[in-house]
Amino acid sequence: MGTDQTIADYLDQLEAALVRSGCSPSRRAEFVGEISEHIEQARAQLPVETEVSVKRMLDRIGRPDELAAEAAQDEATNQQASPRLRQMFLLGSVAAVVLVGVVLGLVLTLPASSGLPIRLPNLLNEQVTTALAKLHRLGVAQSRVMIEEVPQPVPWLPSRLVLAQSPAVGSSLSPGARVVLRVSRGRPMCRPDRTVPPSTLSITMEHATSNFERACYYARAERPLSIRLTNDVVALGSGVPTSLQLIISPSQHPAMTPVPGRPGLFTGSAATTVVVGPNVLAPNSAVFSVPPLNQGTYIIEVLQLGPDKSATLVVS
Amino acid sequence: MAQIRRGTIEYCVLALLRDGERYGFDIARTLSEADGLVTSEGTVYPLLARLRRSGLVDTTWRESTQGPPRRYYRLTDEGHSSLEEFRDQWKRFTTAVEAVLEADGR
Repeated sequence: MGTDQTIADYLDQLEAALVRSGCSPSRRAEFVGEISEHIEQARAQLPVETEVSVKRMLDRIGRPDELAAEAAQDEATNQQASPRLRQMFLLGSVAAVVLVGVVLGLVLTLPASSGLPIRLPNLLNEQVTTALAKLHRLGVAQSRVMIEEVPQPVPWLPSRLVLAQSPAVGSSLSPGARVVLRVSRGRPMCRPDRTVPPSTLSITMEHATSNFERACYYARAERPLSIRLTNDVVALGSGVPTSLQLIISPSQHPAMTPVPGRPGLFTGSAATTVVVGPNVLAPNSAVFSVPPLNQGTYIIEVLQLGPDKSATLVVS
Repeated sequence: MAQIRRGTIEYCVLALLRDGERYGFDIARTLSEADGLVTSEGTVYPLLARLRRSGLVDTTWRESTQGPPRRYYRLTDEGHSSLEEFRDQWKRFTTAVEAVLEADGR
Protein backbone atom coordinates (compact mmCIF):
# COMPACT_ATOMS: atom_id res chain seq x y z
CA MET A 1 0.00 0.00 0.00
CA GLY A 2 1.40 3.45 -0.91
CA THR A 3 1.81 6.32 1.54
CA ASP A 4 -0.95 8.33 -0.16
CA GLN A 5 -3.34 5.45 0.36
CA THR A 6 -2.28 5.17 4.01
CA ILE A 7 -3.11 8.84 4.53
CA ALA A 8 -6.40 8.60 2.63
CA ASP A 9 -7.39 5.58 4.77
CA TYR A 10 -6.50 7.48 7.93
CA LEU A 11 -8.70 10.44 6.91
CA ASP A 12 -11.53 8.03 6.04
CA GLN A 13 -11.23 6.43 9.47
CA LEU A 14 -11.25 9.86 11.08
CA GLU A 15 -14.37 10.86 9.15
CA ALA A 16 -16.11 7.62 10.17
CA ALA A 17 -15.09 8.04 13.81
CA LEU A 18 -16.42 11.62 13.82
CA VAL A 19 -19.75 10.39 12.41
CA ARG A 20 -19.93 7.71 15.14
CA SER A 21 -19.11 10.26 17.84
CA GLY A 22 -22.05 12.44 16.78
CA CYS A 23 -20.08 15.47 15.55
CA SER A 24 -22.09 17.84 13.38
CA PRO A 25 -21.32 17.84 9.62
CA SER A 26 -19.87 21.35 9.76
CA ARG A 27 -17.57 20.51 12.67
CA ARG A 28 -16.57 17.25 10.95
CA ALA A 29 -15.62 19.09 7.78
CA GLU A 30 -13.68 21.72 9.71
CA PHE A 31 -11.81 19.18 11.82
CA VAL A 32 -10.92 16.89 8.91
CA GLY A 33 -9.71 19.97 7.05
CA GLU A 34 -7.49 20.96 9.97
CA ILE A 35 -6.03 17.47 10.28
CA SER A 36 -5.50 17.29 6.50
CA GLU A 37 -3.51 20.51 6.62
CA HIS A 38 -1.54 19.27 9.61
CA ILE A 39 -0.68 16.09 7.69
CA GLU A 40 0.39 18.17 4.71
CA GLN A 41 2.80 20.17 6.82
CA ALA A 42 4.09 17.19 8.82
CA ARG A 43 4.62 15.31 5.58
CA ALA A 44 6.70 18.14 4.13
CA GLN A 45 9.04 17.83 7.12
CA LEU A 46 9.70 14.12 6.70
CA PRO A 47 13.34 13.69 5.66
CA VAL A 48 12.39 10.62 3.65
CA GLU A 49 8.84 9.51 2.99
CA THR A 50 8.33 5.81 3.58
CA GLU A 51 5.42 3.70 4.75
CA VAL A 52 7.03 3.50 8.20
CA SER A 53 7.74 7.24 8.51
CA VAL A 54 4.19 8.13 7.40
CA LYS A 55 2.67 5.67 9.89
CA ARG A 56 4.84 7.15 12.64
CA MET A 57 3.69 10.64 11.61
CA LEU A 58 0.03 9.55 11.80
CA ASP A 59 0.61 7.89 15.20
CA ARG A 60 1.94 11.18 16.42
CA ILE A 61 -1.18 13.00 15.21
CA GLY A 62 -3.37 10.55 17.09
CA ARG A 63 -5.75 7.63 16.67
CA PRO A 64 -8.91 8.60 14.75
CA ASP A 65 -11.22 7.46 17.56
CA GLU A 66 -9.22 9.43 20.12
CA LEU A 67 -9.36 12.59 18.01
CA ALA A 68 -13.07 12.11 17.32
CA ALA A 69 -13.79 11.74 21.05
CA GLU A 70 -11.90 14.95 21.73
CA ALA A 71 -13.73 16.85 18.98
CA ALA A 72 -17.11 15.52 20.15
CA GLN A 73 -16.42 16.48 23.74
CA ASP A 74 -15.40 19.95 22.62
CA GLU A 75 -18.59 20.34 20.60
CA ALA A 76 -20.72 19.15 23.51
CA THR A 77 -19.02 21.66 25.80
CA ASN A 78 -19.67 24.38 23.28
CA GLN A 79 -23.34 23.55 23.15
CA GLN A 80 -23.71 24.10 26.91
CA ALA A 81 -24.27 27.86 27.07
CA SER A 82 -22.20 29.67 29.68
CA PRO A 83 -24.00 31.58 32.47
CA ARG A 84 -22.98 34.85 30.82
CA LEU A 85 -24.49 33.70 27.55
CA ARG A 86 -27.72 32.60 29.24
CA GLN A 87 -27.95 36.03 30.86
CA MET A 88 -27.51 37.65 27.46
CA PHE A 89 -30.30 35.50 26.07
CA LEU A 90 -32.62 36.56 28.88
CA LEU A 91 -31.80 40.22 28.42
CA GLY A 92 -32.08 40.21 24.67
CA SER A 93 -34.51 37.51 23.69
CA VAL A 94 -35.75 39.43 20.66
CA ALA A 95 -32.20 39.90 19.38
CA ALA A 96 -31.53 36.23 19.97
CA VAL A 97 -34.54 35.21 17.93
CA VAL A 98 -33.33 37.42 15.08
CA LEU A 99 -29.84 35.97 15.41
CA VAL A 100 -31.13 32.41 15.36
CA GLY A 101 -33.18 33.29 12.28
CA VAL A 102 -30.10 34.66 10.52
CA VAL A 103 -27.99 31.65 11.48
CA LEU A 104 -30.73 29.29 10.39
CA GLY A 105 -30.95 31.11 7.09
CA LEU A 106 -27.23 30.77 6.56
CA VAL A 107 -27.27 27.09 7.44
CA LEU A 108 -30.09 26.47 5.01
CA THR A 109 -28.11 28.07 2.20
CA LEU A 110 -25.12 25.79 2.79
CA PRO A 111 -24.86 23.25 -0.02
CA ALA A 112 -23.98 20.38 2.33
CA SER A 113 -27.14 20.67 4.33
CA SER A 114 -29.50 21.70 1.57
CA GLY A 115 -28.64 19.04 -0.99
CA LEU A 116 -28.36 21.76 -3.66
CA PRO A 117 -25.65 21.43 -6.33
CA ILE A 118 -22.21 22.55 -5.22
CA ARG A 119 -20.17 24.88 -7.41
CA LEU A 120 -16.68 23.42 -7.64
CA PRO A 121 -13.80 25.66 -6.60
CA ASN A 122 -10.46 25.81 -8.39
CA LEU A 123 -8.44 22.87 -7.05
CA LEU A 124 -5.69 22.98 -9.67
CA ASN A 125 -2.12 23.13 -8.35
CA GLU A 126 -3.32 22.37 -4.84
CA GLN A 127 -1.85 19.51 -2.85
CA VAL A 128 -4.43 16.75 -2.86
CA THR A 129 -4.96 16.92 0.92
CA THR A 130 -5.69 20.66 0.63
CA ALA A 131 -8.09 19.99 -2.24
CA LEU A 132 -9.85 17.34 -0.15
CA ALA A 133 -10.09 19.76 2.76
CA LYS A 134 -11.65 22.40 0.49
CA LEU A 135 -14.16 19.86 -0.76
CA HIS A 136 -14.93 18.76 2.79
CA ARG A 137 -15.72 22.34 3.71
CA LEU A 138 -18.25 22.39 0.88
CA GLY A 139 -19.79 19.18 2.15
CA VAL A 140 -18.22 16.77 -0.36
CA ALA A 141 -17.18 13.66 1.57
CA GLN A 142 -13.90 12.03 0.66
CA SER A 143 -15.76 8.90 -0.44
CA ARG A 144 -17.14 10.97 -3.35
CA VAL A 145 -13.67 11.95 -4.58
CA MET A 146 -11.70 9.72 -6.95
CA ILE A 147 -7.98 10.36 -7.06
CA GLU A 148 -6.08 9.19 -10.12
CA GLU A 149 -2.35 9.47 -10.58
CA VAL A 150 -1.12 10.44 -14.03
CA PRO A 151 0.74 7.53 -15.63
CA GLN A 152 4.16 9.18 -15.91
CA PRO A 153 6.19 10.78 -13.13
CA VAL A 154 6.96 14.44 -13.76
CA PRO A 155 10.31 15.15 -12.10
CA TRP A 156 9.82 18.86 -11.50
CA LEU A 157 6.36 18.62 -9.98
CA PRO A 158 5.85 17.78 -6.33
CA SER A 159 3.97 14.58 -5.69
CA ARG A 160 0.16 14.65 -5.37
CA LEU A 161 -0.44 18.02 -6.97
CA VAL A 162 -3.86 18.38 -8.62
CA LEU A 163 -3.26 18.69 -12.37
CA ALA A 164 -6.85 18.29 -13.58
CA GLN A 165 -10.27 18.17 -12.02
CA SER A 166 -13.59 16.93 -13.22
CA PRO A 167 -16.15 18.51 -13.22
CA ALA A 168 -14.29 21.68 -14.21
CA VAL A 169 -13.80 24.78 -12.06
CA GLY A 170 -17.10 26.57 -11.50
CA SER A 171 -19.21 23.62 -12.65
CA SER A 172 -22.04 22.34 -10.52
CA LEU A 173 -21.68 19.05 -8.71
CA SER A 174 -25.02 17.37 -8.41
CA PRO A 175 -25.92 15.66 -5.15
CA GLY A 176 -24.26 12.25 -5.04
CA ALA A 177 -22.02 12.91 -8.08
CA ARG A 178 -18.29 12.21 -7.89
CA VAL A 179 -15.30 14.49 -8.26
CA VAL A 180 -12.26 13.16 -10.12
CA LEU A 181 -8.86 14.64 -9.35
CA ARG A 182 -5.86 13.76 -11.51
CA VAL A 183 -2.72 14.22 -9.50
CA SER A 184 1.00 14.25 -10.22
CA ARG A 185 3.05 11.18 -9.54
CA GLY A 186 6.04 13.19 -8.42
CA ARG A 187 9.61 12.19 -8.18
CA PRO A 188 10.58 8.55 -7.68
CA MET A 189 10.52 7.43 -4.08
CA CYS A 190 13.96 7.08 -2.51
CA ARG A 191 14.02 4.47 0.19
CA PRO A 192 16.32 5.12 3.15
CA ASP A 193 19.77 3.72 2.61
CA ARG A 194 20.70 1.32 5.40
CA THR A 195 24.40 1.53 4.66
CA VAL A 196 26.46 4.49 5.79
CA PRO A 197 26.93 6.74 2.75
CA PRO A 198 30.58 7.37 1.85
CA SER A 199 32.09 10.82 2.28
CA THR A 200 32.62 11.02 -1.49
CA LEU A 201 29.46 10.87 -3.55
CA SER A 202 30.00 9.35 -6.99
CA ILE A 203 27.63 10.63 -9.63
CA THR A 204 27.83 9.41 -13.21
CA MET A 205 25.97 10.94 -16.11
CA GLU A 206 25.28 8.22 -18.66
CA HIS A 207 25.88 8.74 -22.33
CA ALA A 208 23.01 6.58 -23.58
CA THR A 209 20.31 8.54 -21.77
CA SER A 210 22.08 11.83 -21.02
CA ASN A 211 20.74 11.25 -17.55
CA PHE A 212 21.87 10.27 -14.09
CA GLU A 213 22.98 6.70 -13.62
CA ARG A 214 20.75 6.43 -10.53
CA ALA A 215 17.52 8.07 -9.42
CA CYS A 216 18.53 8.34 -5.76
CA TYR A 217 21.78 9.31 -4.09
CA TYR A 218 22.56 9.43 -0.38
CA ALA A 219 24.85 11.48 1.84
CA ARG A 220 25.37 12.08 5.54
CA ALA A 221 24.05 15.26 7.11
CA GLU A 222 26.40 17.94 8.35
CA ARG A 223 29.55 16.06 7.37
CA PRO A 224 32.28 17.10 4.96
CA LEU A 225 31.27 15.90 1.52
CA SER A 226 33.02 15.56 -1.82
CA ILE A 227 31.33 14.84 -5.12
CA ARG A 228 32.99 12.96 -7.97
CA LEU A 229 31.17 13.82 -11.18
CA THR A 230 31.88 11.53 -14.11
CA ASN A 231 30.68 12.99 -17.38
CA ASP A 232 30.11 10.15 -19.84
CA VAL A 233 27.84 12.21 -22.05
CA VAL A 234 30.43 12.35 -24.78
CA ALA A 235 28.26 14.25 -27.23
CA LEU A 236 24.75 15.60 -27.35
CA GLY A 237 22.85 16.12 -30.63
CA SER A 238 25.36 18.55 -32.08
CA GLY A 239 28.32 16.16 -31.70
CA VAL A 240 30.20 18.73 -29.61
CA PRO A 241 31.79 17.28 -26.43
CA THR A 242 29.58 18.18 -23.52
CA SER A 243 30.50 20.15 -20.49
CA LEU A 244 28.25 19.46 -17.52
CA GLN A 245 27.78 21.40 -14.31
CA LEU A 246 25.93 19.98 -11.30
CA ILE A 247 23.60 22.09 -9.19
CA ILE A 248 21.91 20.95 -6.01
CA SER A 249 18.96 22.65 -4.34
CA PRO A 250 16.30 21.73 -1.75
CA SER A 251 13.64 19.50 -3.31
CA GLN A 252 10.85 21.98 -2.54
CA HIS A 253 12.70 24.69 -4.47
CA PRO A 254 14.40 23.26 -7.55
CA ALA A 255 16.81 25.65 -9.22
CA MET A 256 15.24 25.03 -12.62
CA THR A 257 11.56 25.00 -13.46
CA PRO A 258 9.95 24.50 -16.86
CA VAL A 259 8.14 27.35 -18.58
CA PRO A 260 4.45 26.38 -18.74
CA GLY A 261 3.32 25.58 -22.28
CA ARG A 262 6.85 25.86 -23.73
CA PRO A 263 8.32 22.34 -23.86
CA GLY A 264 12.08 22.31 -23.51
CA LEU A 265 12.29 25.82 -22.07
CA PHE A 266 12.98 26.43 -18.42
CA THR A 267 13.82 29.23 -16.05
CA GLY A 268 16.51 29.05 -13.41
CA SER A 269 17.17 30.71 -10.10
CA ALA A 270 20.31 30.46 -8.04
CA ALA A 271 18.54 31.80 -4.94
CA THR A 272 17.94 28.41 -3.37
CA THR A 273 20.88 26.52 -4.82
CA VAL A 274 23.19 25.06 -2.17
CA VAL A 275 25.82 23.52 -4.45
CA VAL A 276 27.17 24.67 -7.83
CA GLY A 277 29.87 22.38 -9.17
CA PRO A 278 32.61 23.09 -11.70
CA ASN A 279 32.22 22.41 -15.42
CA VAL A 280 33.33 18.87 -16.28
CA LEU A 281 34.15 18.19 -19.92
CA ALA A 282 33.39 14.68 -21.28
CA PRO A 283 34.81 12.11 -21.01
CA ASN A 284 36.29 13.10 -17.67
CA SER A 285 35.73 13.04 -13.93
CA ALA A 286 36.27 15.79 -11.42
CA VAL A 287 36.13 15.77 -7.64
CA PHE A 288 35.00 18.86 -5.78
CA SER A 289 34.11 19.64 -2.16
CA VAL A 290 30.76 20.98 -1.11
CA PRO A 291 29.67 22.55 2.17
CA PRO A 292 28.13 20.14 4.71
CA LEU A 293 24.45 19.73 3.93
CA ASN A 294 21.60 19.81 6.41
CA GLN A 295 19.31 16.82 6.72
CA GLY A 296 16.68 16.81 4.00
CA THR A 297 15.83 15.88 0.46
CA TYR A 298 17.53 17.70 -2.38
CA ILE A 299 17.27 17.70 -6.14
CA ILE A 300 20.39 17.29 -8.26
CA GLU A 301 20.21 18.88 -11.69
CA VAL A 302 22.60 19.60 -14.52
CA LEU A 303 22.64 23.13 -15.80
CA GLN A 304 23.13 22.10 -19.44
CA LEU A 305 20.38 19.46 -19.48
CA GLY A 306 17.44 21.20 -17.84
CA PRO A 307 15.00 20.09 -15.18
CA ASP A 308 13.80 16.89 -16.83
CA LYS A 309 17.16 15.19 -16.18
CA SER A 310 17.50 15.10 -12.44
CA ALA A 311 18.03 12.85 -9.43
CA THR A 312 17.19 12.95 -5.74
CA LEU A 313 19.76 13.36 -3.00
CA VAL A 314 18.68 12.17 0.44
CA VAL A 315 20.79 13.65 3.23
CA SER A 316 20.25 11.98 6.59
CA MET B 1 -4.36 14.27 36.50
CA ALA B 2 -6.20 14.20 33.18
CA GLN B 3 -8.59 16.84 34.51
CA ILE B 4 -5.74 19.10 35.59
CA ARG B 5 -4.13 18.68 32.19
CA ARG B 6 -7.38 19.41 30.41
CA GLY B 7 -7.94 22.52 32.51
CA THR B 8 -4.47 23.95 32.02
CA ILE B 9 -3.63 23.07 28.45
CA GLU B 10 -5.63 25.93 26.95
CA TYR B 11 -3.60 28.39 28.99
CA CYS B 12 -0.42 26.74 27.68
CA VAL B 13 -1.68 27.54 24.19
CA LEU B 14 -2.37 31.13 25.20
CA ALA B 15 1.14 31.32 26.68
CA LEU B 16 2.65 30.08 23.41
CA LEU B 17 0.91 32.96 21.65
CA ARG B 18 1.94 35.59 24.19
CA ASP B 19 4.90 36.79 22.14
CA GLY B 20 3.33 36.63 18.72
CA GLU B 21 1.22 34.66 16.32
CA ARG B 22 1.82 31.02 15.37
CA TYR B 23 0.18 28.61 13.01
CA GLY B 24 -1.71 25.50 14.06
CA PHE B 25 0.89 22.93 13.10
CA ASP B 26 3.57 24.82 15.00
CA ILE B 27 1.40 25.02 18.15
CA ALA B 28 0.46 21.34 17.96
CA ARG B 29 4.05 20.22 17.46
CA THR B 30 5.41 22.40 20.27
CA LEU B 31 2.81 21.10 22.73
CA SER B 32 3.35 17.49 21.71
CA GLU B 33 7.06 17.84 22.33
CA ALA B 34 6.46 19.01 25.91
CA ASP B 35 6.33 15.84 27.97
CA GLY B 36 2.87 14.91 29.23
CA LEU B 37 0.95 17.95 27.99
CA VAL B 38 -1.03 16.42 25.13
CA THR B 39 -1.59 12.81 24.17
CA SER B 40 -1.28 13.54 20.45
CA GLU B 41 -0.85 16.46 18.08
CA GLY B 42 -4.35 16.21 16.61
CA THR B 43 -6.09 16.77 19.95
CA VAL B 44 -4.84 20.36 19.93
CA TYR B 45 -7.23 21.37 17.12
CA PRO B 46 -10.49 21.00 19.09
CA LEU B 47 -8.85 23.09 21.77
CA LEU B 48 -7.88 25.78 19.26
CA ALA B 49 -11.46 25.78 17.95
CA ARG B 50 -12.73 26.28 21.51
CA LEU B 51 -10.36 29.20 22.11
CA ARG B 52 -11.44 30.72 18.81
CA ARG B 53 -15.11 30.47 19.68
CA SER B 54 -14.59 31.90 23.14
CA GLY B 55 -12.84 34.93 21.67
CA LEU B 56 -9.50 34.35 23.40
CA VAL B 57 -7.68 33.96 20.07
CA ASP B 58 -8.44 35.06 16.57
CA THR B 59 -7.09 33.75 13.31
CA THR B 60 -5.99 34.80 9.86
CA TRP B 61 -5.14 32.73 6.80
CA ARG B 62 -1.84 33.41 5.07
CA GLU B 63 -0.18 32.03 2.00
CA SER B 64 2.92 29.95 2.69
CA THR B 65 5.94 29.50 0.48
CA GLN B 66 6.26 25.93 1.76
CA GLY B 67 2.87 24.44 1.04
CA PRO B 68 -0.80 25.19 1.55
CA PRO B 69 -2.07 28.40 3.22
CA ARG B 70 -1.70 28.38 6.97
CA ARG B 71 -4.12 29.51 9.62
CA TYR B 72 -2.29 31.73 12.10
CA TYR B 73 -3.52 32.22 15.66
CA ARG B 74 -2.95 35.25 17.82
CA LEU B 75 -4.08 36.37 21.25
CA THR B 76 -6.96 38.83 21.56
CA ASP B 77 -7.01 41.40 24.35
CA GLU B 78 -9.38 39.10 26.22
CA GLY B 79 -6.88 36.26 25.69
CA HIS B 80 -4.07 38.34 27.17
CA SER B 81 -6.19 39.21 30.23
CA SER B 82 -7.28 35.61 30.66
CA LEU B 83 -3.67 34.41 30.52
CA GLU B 84 -2.46 36.95 33.07
CA GLU B 85 -5.31 36.08 35.41
CA PHE B 86 -4.49 32.39 35.08
CA ARG B 87 -0.78 32.97 35.76
CA ASP B 88 -1.57 34.62 39.09
CA GLN B 89 -4.02 31.92 40.09
CA TRP B 90 -1.68 29.14 38.94
CA LYS B 91 1.19 30.47 41.04
CA ARG B 92 -1.01 30.57 44.13
CA PHE B 93 -2.40 27.11 43.35
CA THR B 94 0.95 25.39 42.79
CA THR B 95 2.48 27.07 45.85
CA ALA B 96 -0.42 25.84 47.96
CA VAL B 97 -0.26 22.31 46.54
CA GLU B 98 3.49 22.08 47.03
CA ALA B 99 3.18 23.29 50.62
CA VAL B 100 0.60 20.59 51.36
CA LEU B 101 2.59 17.86 49.62
CA GLU B 102 5.79 18.75 51.46
CA ALA B 103 4.01 18.97 54.80
CA ASP B 104 2.43 15.58 54.16
CA GLY B 105 5.84 14.03 53.47
CA ARG B 106 7.40 15.09 56.77
